[in-house]
Amino acid sequence: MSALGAKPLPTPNLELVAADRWTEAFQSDAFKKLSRKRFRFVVPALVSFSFVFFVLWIIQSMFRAVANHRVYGYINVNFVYTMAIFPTVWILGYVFVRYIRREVHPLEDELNRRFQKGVKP
Amino acid sequence: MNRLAISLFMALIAVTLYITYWSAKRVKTTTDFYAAGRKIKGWQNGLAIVGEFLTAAAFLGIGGLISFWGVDGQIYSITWFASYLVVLLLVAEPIRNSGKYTFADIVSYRLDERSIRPVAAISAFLISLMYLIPQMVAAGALSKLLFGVPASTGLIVVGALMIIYITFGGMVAATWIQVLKAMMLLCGAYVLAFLVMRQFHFSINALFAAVANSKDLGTAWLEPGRWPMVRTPIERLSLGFTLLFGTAALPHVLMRFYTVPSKQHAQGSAMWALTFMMIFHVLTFIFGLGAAVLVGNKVIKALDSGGNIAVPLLARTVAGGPGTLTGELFMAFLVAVAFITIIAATSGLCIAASSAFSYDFWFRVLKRGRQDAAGQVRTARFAAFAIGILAILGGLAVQHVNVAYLAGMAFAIAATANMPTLIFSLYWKGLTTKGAFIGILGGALVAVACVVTGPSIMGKNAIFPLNNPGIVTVPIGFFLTYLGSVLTRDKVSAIKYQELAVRSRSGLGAES
Repeated sequence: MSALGAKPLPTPNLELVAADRWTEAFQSDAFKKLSRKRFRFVVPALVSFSFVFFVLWIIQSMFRAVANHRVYGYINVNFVYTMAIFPTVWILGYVFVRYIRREVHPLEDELNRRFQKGVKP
Repeated sequence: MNRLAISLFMALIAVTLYITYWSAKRVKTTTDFYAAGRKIKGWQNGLAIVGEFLTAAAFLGIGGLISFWGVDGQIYSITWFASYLVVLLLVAEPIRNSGKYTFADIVSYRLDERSIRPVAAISAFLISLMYLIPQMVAAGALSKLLFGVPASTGLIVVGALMIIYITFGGMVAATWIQVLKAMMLLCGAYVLAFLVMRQFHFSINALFAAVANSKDLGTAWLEPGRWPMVRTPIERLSLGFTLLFGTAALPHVLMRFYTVPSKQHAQGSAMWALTFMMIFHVLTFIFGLGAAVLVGNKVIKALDSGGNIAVPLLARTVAGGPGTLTGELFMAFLVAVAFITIIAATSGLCIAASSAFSYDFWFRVLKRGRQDAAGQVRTARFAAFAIGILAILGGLAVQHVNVAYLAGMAFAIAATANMPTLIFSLYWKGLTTKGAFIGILGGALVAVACVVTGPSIMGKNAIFPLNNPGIVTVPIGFFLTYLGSVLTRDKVSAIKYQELAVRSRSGLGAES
């Protein structure tokens, strides 16, 4: 059944879920909703995250006057921006974990209840 | 100083050997050996992950870099830290949910295992080995610098300890040694930062003023653009984005997510890693600029042109100065911790390389999954031993050559060859076995070619202009995998995608 004619190796925990029900799980509303919710966070988060770094590196290499502009004493924009990345990224991670626990894990539990081995459709 | 540092180091070694002895009794099955029995809690694994990343390069290297070149060195701090957000968002939970021990588990799930697993295993093996050998060489150089013993002796000692830890204690020992080391490193870092900032009345501005008004330094140290490696925008973006996204494809990092009992713990451990990385990396500018002002970068450069001695010297200066008991003691403590750091880092790499060989290649491919549990553990131990010997010999052979580029090459291969297949496996239905094959092989070749023809090896005659090729090679890797997949067919992969998607995103049927 495999592409190059070799038999696939046994996967030890496959029997946890009845083999023919993966497609059903994949097409279920709970799974679609779960995927949508996950991507709705991950994609915008990664895009804005990359943008924050992109702007920093562009300022550092092309707009040195901005980077070197002093905000307080000897502390300049470059330093403030760099240090602000730490809490920003951490908060994004924290919000993600909370979001997944609140919005996505309940859907995962639902799928688990419905498709564990022994549960009839 | 040497004697003090060596005795502290010996004491720490005794502790790690006890951990290994304790672990050895707990390693009975392959899950114990490769994944610490999946009994590691979120925060513990978070510390172990941080241990994996707070190598000597992070602890000694970034400080030295900033003391020589100014705040440009912070690029490593922010990207190493933030790369864990990428890991958390994209791979932490899916990896835990759908694999057993290695990176190759994920990619061979949907694809034809017999053709893709050997390729994935070889790539993981090479990446880990390329990381390992420069670490061994660095260990030799540092032992000469810090302890005053010959480089070869230091290298062999580090290699021997690594072999003992992994062969006997497997992932259990590797994890607990990382946890111990990460805690000591964080404590040491905070004491050091406290002592440095005390000299400046806990004012960052006063530290900066001292840098700006020093006759050897100047405001340039506080401004970006001094470090030649990131002078052009394209070099800066390339280094930065490769570090940010490449981490999510490093075999020894991915392997850590199998040691936790559940997806919640996988997520939790990535979050803990993010936290511990943050509390360390916010300090690096204090070490670098502190050393530049208080020790003086001419003094540092005279002792070590690589800058690795900057942080230990800073520790001695702020804890009382040379010749005082507290000064020598604190320096000795940090030196000993730095050394444990190297050994722990090499141990993590050793276990990643040995799992690629013994589990992926030997057990899954050659034995086709037919070998009893005791036999598997025996093969794993033997592989770890052999890889340790290989790393020692490799390190001794190249110790007089500058091999710093090897780690960069490993990173480039991970990001270019492994990353596209990993991401596509989890998130794209269209991936085919041949596409992944082309992507991994082609990506690795492109990455190696760009590094070999680049400035880090060919110097001024470089054909490829960038020191860090990521910004060019990673898109090529994704494109090759995509192209190979749309041009070929793989019915099984398309059907199995449904299974992997459900497994990886919901945790249905995950290994316990």
